[in-house]
Amino acid sequence: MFIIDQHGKVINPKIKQVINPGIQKKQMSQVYGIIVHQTDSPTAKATLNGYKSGRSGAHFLIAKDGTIYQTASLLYQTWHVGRLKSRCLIKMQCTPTEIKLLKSFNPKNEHRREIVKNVPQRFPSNEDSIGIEIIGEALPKNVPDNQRVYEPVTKEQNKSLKWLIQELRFVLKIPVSEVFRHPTVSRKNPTEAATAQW
Amino acid sequence: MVIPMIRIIFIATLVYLSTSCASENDGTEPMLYPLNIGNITNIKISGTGITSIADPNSNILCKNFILSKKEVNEYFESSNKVTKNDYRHMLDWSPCFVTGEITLENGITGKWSIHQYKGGTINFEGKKTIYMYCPNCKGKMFNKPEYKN
Repeated sequence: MFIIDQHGKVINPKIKQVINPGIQKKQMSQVYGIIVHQTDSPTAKATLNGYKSGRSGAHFLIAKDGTIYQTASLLYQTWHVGRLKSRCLIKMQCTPTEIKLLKSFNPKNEHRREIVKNVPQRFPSNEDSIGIEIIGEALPKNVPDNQRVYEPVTKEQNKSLKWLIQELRFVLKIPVSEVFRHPTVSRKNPTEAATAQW
Repeated sequence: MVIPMIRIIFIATLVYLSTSCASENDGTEPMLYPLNIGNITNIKISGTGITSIADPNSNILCKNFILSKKEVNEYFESSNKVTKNDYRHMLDWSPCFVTGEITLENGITGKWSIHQYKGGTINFEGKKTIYMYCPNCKGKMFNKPEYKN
C-alpha cells in the first residue's frame, strides 16, 4: 500500500516524482474518480516538455516501460477531462427535460448542466478526479486527424496502471465504477486508452 | 461629488470582478493563439462527410457533414492555433470530418482536416501537426451531429 503525504505526493519506490506546479490548478478537496488517458506523444520526456506550458496535464504519467511518474500533487486539480458528456444518457436515466435539452446539441451548456450535479449522477470532472496519462501516440503521425488511431498500451504499462489504480482506489476509497477511459466521459477519439486495462 | 465618484468606482470594480470570475477558465476552454501560417494561395476540399477510422461504429452519421468552399475559407481566416495538449484534453472531438489540401504563398502544401465540433489539424510535410479551433466559425453544419438511431 502506498502513502500520500501532506503535500499530496505519493510515497512509494515505484513512483518517480516529477511534479510540475504549473499544471496544478485549484485545490481538490474531494476525489470521486479516476480518468485514464493516452498522451499522443512518443515518450514521457515529450509529455513532460508539453507540461511546461503550464496548462493542461494530469496527475500521473506511465512510460512505455511501465515507469510511473507523479506529475501533480493530489491536493490540486489538473485540467485533463474537458467538457463532460451527460451521464444520464448512458445510464438511461435522463428526465424528460434533460432529453429535450440534449436534443439541441450544445456541449458547453451540457457541461454546465452536468457540473452542478454530484457524482455518480455525473461523471467525475477536472474538479474531483485524478488523471492518469499513458504514453502512446495516435498513428500514423503527420496525417489528418480523421486517419489517426491510438497505438496499443504496452503490457508493462497495463501492469503499472492496474497497480496504480488499485492503490489509489484503496487509499482514496474510489469505487471501480468511477474509473473511466477519457472518451467515456468526454467527446474524444474513442481509441484513446481503448486497450488500457485495470 | 466625491461620494458619487467612489460609488461609481466601487460598482465598476464589482462588475469587473463578477465578470472576470464568471469567465474564469475551468479547464474546458483552450488558450487561443494566432494561426500565423502565412498567406494562403489555394484551399482545396478533397473529402466531405468522412467518418474517422477511429470510430467506424459511431452512432453519429457523418455523410451530411459538408462545408462549402466559402465556409472552409472562413475557417482558415478565423481559426486559432491551440496546443496539442489543449486540443486533446479540452476540445470536443467529432468522428465527422471534411478534409483537403492547402497551398501557401511560398509554395508549401499541406493536408488539413476539420471536424464537426470546430477543431482541425494541418500537416505540412516534415513539420509538426498544427492544431486548430474556430469557436466563432458559423458553418451551418458545425455542431449539428446527426444520430443514426
